[in-house]
Order: sequence, then C-alpha cells, then structure tokens
Amino acid sequence: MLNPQREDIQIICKHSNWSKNEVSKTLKTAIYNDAPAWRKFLQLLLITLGIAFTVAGIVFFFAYNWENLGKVGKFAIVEGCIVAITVAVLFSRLALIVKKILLTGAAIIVGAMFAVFGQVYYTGANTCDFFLAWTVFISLWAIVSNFPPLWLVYVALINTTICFYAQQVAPWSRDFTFLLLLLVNVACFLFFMLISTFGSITVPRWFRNVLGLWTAGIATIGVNGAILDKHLDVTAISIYVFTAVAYIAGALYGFRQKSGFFLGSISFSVILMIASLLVRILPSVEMMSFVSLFVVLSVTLVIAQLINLQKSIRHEK
Amino acid sequence: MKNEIAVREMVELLKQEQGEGLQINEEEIVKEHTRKNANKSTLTIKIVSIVGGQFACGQFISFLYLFGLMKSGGALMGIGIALIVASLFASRILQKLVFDTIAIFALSTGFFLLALGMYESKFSENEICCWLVVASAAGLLISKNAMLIFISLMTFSQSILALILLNRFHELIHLFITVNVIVLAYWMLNEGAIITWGKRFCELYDPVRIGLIFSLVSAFAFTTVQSVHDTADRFAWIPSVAMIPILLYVVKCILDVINVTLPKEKAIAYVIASLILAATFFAPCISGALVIILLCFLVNYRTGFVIVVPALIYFVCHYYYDLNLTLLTKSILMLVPGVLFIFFYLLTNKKLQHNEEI
Repeated sequence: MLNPQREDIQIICKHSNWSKNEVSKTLKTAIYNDAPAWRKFLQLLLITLGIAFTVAGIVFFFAYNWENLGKVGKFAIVEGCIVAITVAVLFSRLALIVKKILLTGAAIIVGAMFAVFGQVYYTGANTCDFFLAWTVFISLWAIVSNFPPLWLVYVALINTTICFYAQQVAPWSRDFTFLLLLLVNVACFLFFMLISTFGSITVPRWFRNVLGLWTAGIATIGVNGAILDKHLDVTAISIYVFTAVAYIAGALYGFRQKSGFFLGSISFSVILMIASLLVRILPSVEMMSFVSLFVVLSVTLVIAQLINLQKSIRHEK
Repeated sequence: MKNEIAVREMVELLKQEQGEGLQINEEEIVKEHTRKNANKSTLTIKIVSIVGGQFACGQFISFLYLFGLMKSGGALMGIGIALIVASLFASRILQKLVFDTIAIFALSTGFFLLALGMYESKFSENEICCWLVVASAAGLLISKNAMLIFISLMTFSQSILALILLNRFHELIHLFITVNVIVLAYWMLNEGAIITWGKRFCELYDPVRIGLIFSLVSAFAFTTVQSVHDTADRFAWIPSVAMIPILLYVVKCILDVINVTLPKEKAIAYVIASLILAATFFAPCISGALVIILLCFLVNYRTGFVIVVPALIYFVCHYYYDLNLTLLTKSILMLVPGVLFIFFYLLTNKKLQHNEEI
C-alpha cells in the first residue's frame, strides 16, 4: 500500500470488507514502531530511568543531613560524584546521548552540592542565593551540552531564582515580578530562536513549544492580574505594552513558521485577556453570559482561521 | 492527508495486493477523504476547542448562578437535556470542525445543568451520578463527533468514579482501574480487529482510546489522594494482578518486534519486567503508567505517550513522598533501582545497539 496513514486505514475499513488479519498486518508494518525505533526507545528509557533514580538517590542521601559524616566526607562524596560524571562525559566512549543525560544528572547534583554547602557552613543564605549559585555554575554545561532537557532545567532554575528573589529579597509588586519573568523568558526564547536560525544548533519543536507556552502563560496571568487589580501604573502599562509587542512578534513568527501551536496559544491567551477586560469594564451578571458567548464564538473563529492556515500549508506542499 | 489522486493510487495498490476478494467502495473513500481533508484537525485545534468550550461552560454556569437562575431544578434539567440532545444531534448533521467548540460547550453545559437541576430538585447524589452515566452513555452511542464521544466517555467514567468516592466505597476504585486497564489494553492491542467490526467502531476508535487513557490516569490520580489511599490501599494489588499478563504480553510483542529469539535474552527481558512489577506491586499507578507508555509506543500513539510521561513522573515522586521512611532509606530505595536500570542498560546495550548508533 502507498504509505498509508492511520486515518487512511480507518477510512478504507469503513468502506470495504478488508479482512481483520490484513488490516492488523498493515498497521504493524506501516504505522506501528519498528525494531530500530524500539531499540532507541528502550536504550533511552533504561539509561534515563537509571540516571534519574541514581541522581534522586544522591540528592536524598544529602537531604538526610548526616550528623556522623564530617564536612570533608560530605564534600568528598558529592564533589566526587560530580567529578566522576564529568570525567565519564569527557573521556568515556559512551554514546553522545548518554553523555548528555549524564551531564544533566551532574547539573542536578550541583544543586545538592550547594545544599550541602549551606548545611555545613550555616551560610544563612536566602533560597534565591542557592538557586542563583546553582544556575550560574551549570551555565557552561547548559551551553556546551546542546541538550534541550538540560536547557529546560536551566530555564526553570532562572525562573525559580527570580520568583524566590521577588518573594524573599526584593519588595517588588506582583506586576513587576511578572513583567520581569516575561522579559527574561522572551529573552530566552529569542536566544534559542536566534541560535537555531543563525547557528548550527537545532532547537527541537517540543522545546520551542514548551518555552512558548510557558511564556504565554506568564503573560496571560500577568496581564489578567493587572487588569483585574483595577489600577493603572507604569508597571501595568509596561506589562500590557510588552505583552502586545511579544504577541505581535510571536504571531508573525507563528505565521512564518506555519505553527498552529503558536497561533492557537497566543489567540487563546488574548481571548482570556479580553474576557477579563470585559468583566473589568462592566462587572455585571449579564456580562458573564456575554463573556461565555464571546469565548465560544472567538474560539470558533480562531479554529476556523487555524483550519484555513492548515489548508494553505497543504496547498503549498 | 492525501489528495484525490494519491487516495485513488493507494486504493488501486491495495486492490492489487488483496486480489479479487476485496470489495471496496472507492468513491465513498475519496468522498470521505475530501471531507476529512476539509476538516483536518490538529492537536492544537483539539486542545483549544476543549479548553475554550470548558471555559465558556464555566462562565455560563457562573452567569446562571449569579443571575439566580439556579433555583428552578426543573428548568435547569430541561435546559440541560435540551442542550445535550441539541449538541448530539447537531453534531450528526453539522460534521464541521469549526462547530466543535460550540458542540463541546453545549454538551458540557448540558451535563452540568442536568446534574445541577437534579440537585436542586432534591435527587440524591447517587441518582444524579446514575443519570449522568445514562446520559453520557447515550452520548457515547449517538454522537458521530470525536470530541463529543471523548467528552461523553470522560463524563461516563468520572460519574462512576464519583459514585465510588461519594459512597466511600474507595476499595472499588481498584476494581474500576482493573476493568479500565484491561479494556484499554484490549482496545490498543486489537486495533486491526476493532476497526473492522463496522463503521461505528472506526468512528469510536480514536476518541475512545484517548478517553480510556485519560480515565485511567484520572483514576490513578484519585488513588494518590490521602483519604482514598488510606482506606483502599490494601486492595492496591488487584490492578497489579491484572497488569501482570498485560505487561508480559507487551514484553512478548516488543521481543517479537526487535527480533529477540535467544532464550537467555528473552529471560533477561522477562526478569526486568518481573522486577518492575514486583517493585510496584502495591503502587499500581506506577506500573499502570508504565504499561500505558509501552502500549502507546507499541502502537505509535504519540499523544497518549506525551500525556502519560508527566503522569508517571508525578506518580513516582508521590510514591516516594508518601513512603513513611527516613530520607536515608528513601535514598537507598532510589539508588537501588537507579543502579539496576544502569546495569540493565549496560547489559542490553550491545544487543539493542545492533550496529546502530542511537
């Protein structure tokens, strides 16, 4: 059969007497994963589970807060783990993907090392200092690894550091914290898009989508919070303006990349913002029914546009 | 999806492969392809439709509540039934993707209003759940729209779960999981047979598969709730027993695909599977999530795979968090499987690599 998709097989089954055995055979050969895919998957599954459990075990080992273990012993174990993993990454003949997973494991153990540091010396540092140090000291690995899961850990650490800084140190307003988070995540997104456009590094679609969705989520919560807070100061205006600029750029990027995910996420976020604005302008009971109608109709409109976009992509192909 | 020429070529090739015995309605196939091409959905469109529909449903319910329209049980039930019937029959006539959000909004609001109306009319919680089971089963049988079949199936399974939880028969949740996992495994492993049962099963296949996965993951999530966990934990082995043959059968399928024939290698694979089953015997949510992941990968179903991976991570974290042991013991309990997995990786590495770079 000519390269059938699952949907093709289902449609043919609906309008023919194609036998059960032949359909099963076609599904197995044309749709289901083959031997190379399984080999790759099983190898990745075993090594990922192995490293994840081992690293989690090491982190818990130090969380136990050993009293009988001296500070030299503690540092020797945790730093020994980091050195051993780094040496394995640099000098072993392991597959590249395994080395990258190992480096991600080492990046997590760096966090355990800073926790031990705080435990031993009673530094009294804030949580944000801990996350900042962790972020800074894995930066080089995040750059050289060329491994999206480690990038994700890195971006998560940057966000966590900012959140703890805003919570424990800086007297920032909620709007300002969201504005800063938005700026930082948009900068991260731009950085990854630039290196994938002008550099030789490939940024996978799933990573781009996760980062894009996270940024849109921050913008949505930030803008909705500012709208419902009922005050208009410089920070609130900045978050509106910056979100508008980021969304226009994101939509243009989505059109260029033919990314339904981007356009869909941005559109839905804008719908939620407008819904909040409607409730804010006229906080009446009737408005709730109007908002409900507005959401249904606008989502329907967005879907119609996404379908059109898809059709144009198919025509181009 | 393919254009008309490609579809005709594909059908022609299939006719040649299958010979005289194959009776095929080529015109209907082309027509359906054209219709599906015009309404081709993506995961983004599905998610936006469902989230948009549910959000609008929430807003509408808030409006009814704030407007004081929640008082008349009969009226609410009437509107609810009308919305359910309208959405189900409209979806049979208007088979356009663009109406999905409206249909989802109408069906979800219909189920919700039916439940609220019955509550206002002093029906018991059990009666409400039972009627929701009946209404959602009707939706499952009548609807031709994949999204509505999914919503109906979710309402059906969540109503049964609500019956179990509201009556504090927490032990029954494990029976629910057992049935769900068996049905899901059968549904996914017999795709070829099920879609040849008739036209209706072709329409049901995809939404029922994702519905069963969501239903199972939500049931697993309920077992991690403290009160359910405390009362039903002693029956956690029931789903694990059901999962033994399923996991072993999946392992057999995997071994067939990767062409493992030597008894020693087969034994290693079954030992790994048995160790995982033994270690998670009293935490069926972990082995269950793992079974779903393997099933999804086996049949190349990416959406299910992507949904269940975060669920597995959550269940593993919750399992260790819940253990009433010192951090040191937990650490050892993590290091042991960690080292074992690395050992299995090294053990199977050569065989799996098979002259192939990963």
